[in-house]
Amino acid sequence: MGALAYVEWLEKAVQRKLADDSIGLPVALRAELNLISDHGLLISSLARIASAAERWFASKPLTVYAQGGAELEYVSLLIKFSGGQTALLSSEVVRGDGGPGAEGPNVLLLVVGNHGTMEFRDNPGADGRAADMEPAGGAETQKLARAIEESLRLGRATTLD
Amino acid sequence: MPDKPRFGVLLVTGGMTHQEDYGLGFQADPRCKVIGVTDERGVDRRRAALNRRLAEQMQVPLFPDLDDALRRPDVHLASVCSEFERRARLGRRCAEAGKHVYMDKPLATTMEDANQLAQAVRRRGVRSQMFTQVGAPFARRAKQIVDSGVLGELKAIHCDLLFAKGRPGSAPLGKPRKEHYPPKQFTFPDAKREIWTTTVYSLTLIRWLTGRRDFRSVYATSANYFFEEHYRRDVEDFGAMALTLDGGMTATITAGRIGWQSHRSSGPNFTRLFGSQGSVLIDGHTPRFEVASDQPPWTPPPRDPDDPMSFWSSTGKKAGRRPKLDWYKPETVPTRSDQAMFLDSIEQGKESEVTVADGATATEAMLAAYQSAATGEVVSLPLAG
Repeated sequence: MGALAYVEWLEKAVQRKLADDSIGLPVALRAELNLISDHGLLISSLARIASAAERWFASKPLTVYAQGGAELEYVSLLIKFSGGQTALLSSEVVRGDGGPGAEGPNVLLLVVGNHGTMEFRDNPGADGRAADMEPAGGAETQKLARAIEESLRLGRATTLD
Repeated sequence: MPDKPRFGVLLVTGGMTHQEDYGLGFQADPRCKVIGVTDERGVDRRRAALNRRLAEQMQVPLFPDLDDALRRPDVHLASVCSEFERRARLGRRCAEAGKHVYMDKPLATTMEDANQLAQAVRRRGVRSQMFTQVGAPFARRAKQIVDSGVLGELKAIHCDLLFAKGRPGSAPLGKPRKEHYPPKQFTFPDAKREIWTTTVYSLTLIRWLTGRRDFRSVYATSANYFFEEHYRRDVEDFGAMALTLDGGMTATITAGRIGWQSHRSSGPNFTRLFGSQGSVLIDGHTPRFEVASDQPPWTPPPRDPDDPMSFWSSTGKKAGRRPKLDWYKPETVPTRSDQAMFLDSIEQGKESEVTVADGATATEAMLAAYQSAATGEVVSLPLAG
């Protein structure tokens, strides 16, 4: 078996759990997705998780406001969705393999529903699991990545079609 | 024989406010004597009765006129927990009377009120403090890490503070909330603006961690996700903010009230610090023991018609609200009450860790958040006008 495509696995895992309705309807998401040491992949990584949020919420992103930038080694997003949902997403470069100041790949997801919350924390790769951290993504992800880049360039929220 | 208390404390506004907790905090400190409960003349009958009730519970006198009480020479400091719209005005009267002021959060509902209070404190040379969480163990841990330099230069801070209170699931979903600016009303019996009452903790934490860096811009959104009460009052139960600070630093915040059973403890509390040399996630609920047993599961308290969202300690006590026991968090750093920290600052003749000037800065960022949520624009600080 090859390396796990981590973000794809994560998207499906959340989707399956949401389907059992234990937290009601998902309304907000906080995600910290710190998987890669290449700052050039920060935006695509965030665009990929934003695309997953679109499916978790069953709602289209309306606006994206981005802060930071690849050269600063982190990017943060505040996204509003057409159904009223909110996502705050961030990604930063991974510098080490453990301990304060030298964390390895790490993930925090807090999915807030109108009847409960779902929290997920992981250190992918820490227990020997082979994981492919580089996100794949289709046209939606690319569109979101362009919106993030535009927001970073203009310093304001970008509206998606 | 213990020393005679050095500080006489006047409690301004009583029951069904956080004075129920702050008053006890001062009363528990051997440096203090609570002189009495007071309020301005002309408060309504309900407020007058609640003031009397706290005075009786604490077994201290009730003074019906704030100005008379402030003339007492045995009053050295005032703890002000009046309703949001009255708070800064009464705090200012206390400061102008030469008393140190301990303020509930948030400080004021307008920048004019906040600035006038800060000016009165400065002009009279009294000490001030606004209640926050900077004394909490998670905040102390964060400060130690930042000050150690292990993270290098801070670039970004992410804060999540969501309170597990209330009975959720009654707010209609499906479309974005329409926010209004400026916000008009703040005090309701069954709803609190959550950008107002919760982001204030994260905003003050961020400034405290960064050596009082000022906020330069705010982008925000507000929502109604959980409670019919908030929806009916047209105030948000959830908010998210993205801020820039002096020096190019950024911060993000989520804040809200999410429901009694939406967390195994008091609610998610995360602080992530990202610096030029490294980063760390501080979970306000770690280290912890996670306990599973055949004890009956925790259940929310019954709904109190006088306090449907269970804002206040007295109604929680009356309803038999039980603590959640699934997570046990042993003390990691010595805790010191916020009231004791204020007394320390007075005794030591130094500025408190969160002054009313800091509270005014947080007020400005929160007002900017409402403006941003209403317009969809990034709002620059300081606010115009």
